[in-house]
Amino acid sequence: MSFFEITLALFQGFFVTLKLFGLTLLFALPLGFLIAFGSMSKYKLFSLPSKTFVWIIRGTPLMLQIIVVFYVPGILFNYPIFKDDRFLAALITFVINYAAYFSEIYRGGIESIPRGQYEAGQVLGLTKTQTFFKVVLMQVVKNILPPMSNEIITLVKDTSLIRVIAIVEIIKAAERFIAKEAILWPLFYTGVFYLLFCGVLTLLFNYFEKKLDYYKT
Amino acid sequence: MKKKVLAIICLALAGIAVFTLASCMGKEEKVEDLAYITANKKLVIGITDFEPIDFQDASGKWVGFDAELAEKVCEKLGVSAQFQLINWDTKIEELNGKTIDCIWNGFTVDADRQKKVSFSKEYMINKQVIVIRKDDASKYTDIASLADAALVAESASVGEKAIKATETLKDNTYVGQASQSDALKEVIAKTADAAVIDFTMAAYLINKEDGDFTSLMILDAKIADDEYYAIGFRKGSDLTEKVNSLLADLEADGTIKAIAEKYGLSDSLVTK
Repeated sequence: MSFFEITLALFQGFFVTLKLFGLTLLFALPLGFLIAFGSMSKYKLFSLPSKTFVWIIRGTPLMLQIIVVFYVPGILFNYPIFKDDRFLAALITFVINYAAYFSEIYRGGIESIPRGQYEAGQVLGLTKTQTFFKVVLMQVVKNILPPMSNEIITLVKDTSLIRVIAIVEIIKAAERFIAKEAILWPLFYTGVFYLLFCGVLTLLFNYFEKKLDYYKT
Repeated sequence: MKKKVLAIICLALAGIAVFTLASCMGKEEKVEDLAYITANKKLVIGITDFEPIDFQDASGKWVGFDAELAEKVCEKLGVSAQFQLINWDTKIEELNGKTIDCIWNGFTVDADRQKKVSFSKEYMINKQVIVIRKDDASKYTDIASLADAALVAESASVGEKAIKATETLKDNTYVGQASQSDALKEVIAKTADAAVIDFTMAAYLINKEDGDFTSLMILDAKIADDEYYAIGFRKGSDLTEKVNSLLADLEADGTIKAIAEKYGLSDSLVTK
């Protein structure tokens, strides 16, 4: 097989990687907000489940979570939901996992805004909701950008874990060349794909950080 | 608050314990798989890349001895054959989790596996071989000379069992890898000195021209008795008996022999 054919085959695997990356962000970013508000709630009814959820998700390895989501419906309940769609099992696990991490970043960002700003908002006659959306939110976005970019770049590489349930993402695609063609280099070549993609993301986040750096101009 | 946290932790641990217990308990009752796959109109077959047993041709279609035989059997069952790539070290979980319906990929019969799956009749002979680097040909000449060699095999494979059952090798440095090709990768990388894997796979990879494994060789030493490939179904599955009778038909009309000839495996067929 030529270099070109192998690159093409790896791109097919990388497409699965990118699909998981994109869809996870799409669903986990908003879901994280919901969990963050749950964790910050004054009412135990909301905060306790939220905090327990975050504890369980952050306290167990993502790889184990993928295995549990994929196998348990069939083994324990005799109902193999993901028989025809392994990717869905991976996506659900990733959304839940990353939403938990994102929620804690959101919470940190929101709680870092001094109470005085809410009080100032109240004095100026703004409601609590108005203060949050018009005063606080943009500052939160600015503050959480560095930790979020960190987590998002981690997500790119965490996608490689889905090979435990035999989904052919880029690393599994490369490993199949070992069994099929007896060649090893495609496995190491996958690093180039990750590096390039993470490079693009880094530039993108740098651009956003500069854009939001409005106090320095 | 403290009490609540304690209660949650206890609950979580109890949950884990129940789950572990439930998955450990073997189910002995009759499994109505024939009705199940007929309702699904397909048999999901767990496989790996394993030339000449199961591999994809240029168009992406699964071919190979097992793949073609499986197509024939499914035809007779009146269902379509759906090949699902799996990780070999989680084959039993896949089978019990119903994400596949059978393991049909050069699956070696052994006593421990017999406790977990229901084997069909044996259809092919296989053996375990020791693979070393050609550079070490003078150093490693028989099993006794491997006494200080670092060994590798596929985790939960028959090769691994063969190592543990050999008196002179069982205390060697040992690594259980995720697949047979990963085991060979370790020998190439010199992170291990000898791999114990299936002859079918070893011969294919080592003899592949322009491959990365040509620097390896098969050591002329017997590490385990001959063994047999069979299809693995869920424990107690009624498919085993049905497929056995279909295999007998396919053997009688010469279909099996014809497929074996196509893949150069005529000598490995079980004829009885």
